[in-house]
Amino acid sequence: MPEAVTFEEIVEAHYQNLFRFALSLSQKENDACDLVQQTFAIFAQKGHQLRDSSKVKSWLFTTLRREFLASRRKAERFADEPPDEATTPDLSEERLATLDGETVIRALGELPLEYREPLTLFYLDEHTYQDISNHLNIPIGTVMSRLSRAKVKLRALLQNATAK
Amino acid sequence: MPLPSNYDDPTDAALARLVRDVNPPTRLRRELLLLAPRSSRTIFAFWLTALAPLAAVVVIWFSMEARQPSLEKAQADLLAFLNTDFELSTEPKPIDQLRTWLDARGAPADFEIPKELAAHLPEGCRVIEWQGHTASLICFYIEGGPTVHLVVFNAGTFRQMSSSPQIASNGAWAVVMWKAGNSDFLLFGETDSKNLLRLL
Repeated sequence: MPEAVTFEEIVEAHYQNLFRFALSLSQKENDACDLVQQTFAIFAQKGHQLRDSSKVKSWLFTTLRREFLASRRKAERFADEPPDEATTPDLSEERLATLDGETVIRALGELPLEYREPLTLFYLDEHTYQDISNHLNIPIGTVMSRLSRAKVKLRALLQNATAK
Repeated sequence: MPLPSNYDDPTDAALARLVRDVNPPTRLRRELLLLAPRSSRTIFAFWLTALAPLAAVVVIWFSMEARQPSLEKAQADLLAFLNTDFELSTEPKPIDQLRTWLDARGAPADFEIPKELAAHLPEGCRVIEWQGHTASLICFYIEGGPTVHLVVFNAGTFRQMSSSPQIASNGAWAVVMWKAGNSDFLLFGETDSKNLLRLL
């Protein structure tokens, strides 16, 4: 366990965003809870090996993602893609006003995993491009291109969702 | 929850806010906290509880050690006393009578005098109080040599005592110290330590 930070403090600091990330990946509340629990169970066993407490957050997100991928029983490899030059469509304030968090999470869940992961992390607290690159183990340029494409796809999904 | 400042696009900021509005079920936090390994604080409390009796014993032991009289201090104080014009409380008597006299005064009496020393005539005895300990002093006249003074404390008075005689000297005086049976012995004489050792 990293010194000066207790397990309880780490749970309090990260479990909500980890749940949101897990929910966007699994799309099921119970599965998301299981992923978060599995992540912290591993942390409880191996967290003491982390000498740098500043790495805890990154370790948790990376571990949760690995556990999710393991649960899907398949490895996914994503090729680097060039940045998308297309203009990201906007959502009107009226349409945004009709949205709630669960709708956005559901829409994120409809995105392919390679877009879902970086965009969810992007919307979670304090995840920079570099954070996302570290969590997903992909180049920062790939993060940017996937985020760009992901935003286009998400907004299109939300536009349709709000239009219904 | 404050938003990071890197959301240039207000739609991103709004969507981020919506994502963060999604809260986990309340049971999740409770279940996660149950996964907590035994914290360092708990471990500390565990060891504190487990080791408390041992710590108490150590404290008591150190306390007893601190109260244990110093053999060196006893040597110095007794030698200072022997260098005064002290008086004995009895006339020269057989050793058994001296034992009776000492025992009647609460001083150590049930001790075994070394065989060589016991062959000499006791000049007399008295009781000595030193740092709360009652000791017996018996003086022996040694033909052709100086008077020697046997001081007897109850066993365990001095932690440093050993069954093997220890020798020390101070000016013209020598002292031999040992423990035997239920007594601690100090034998003083204004002579060479070898002469004292011959009396044991």
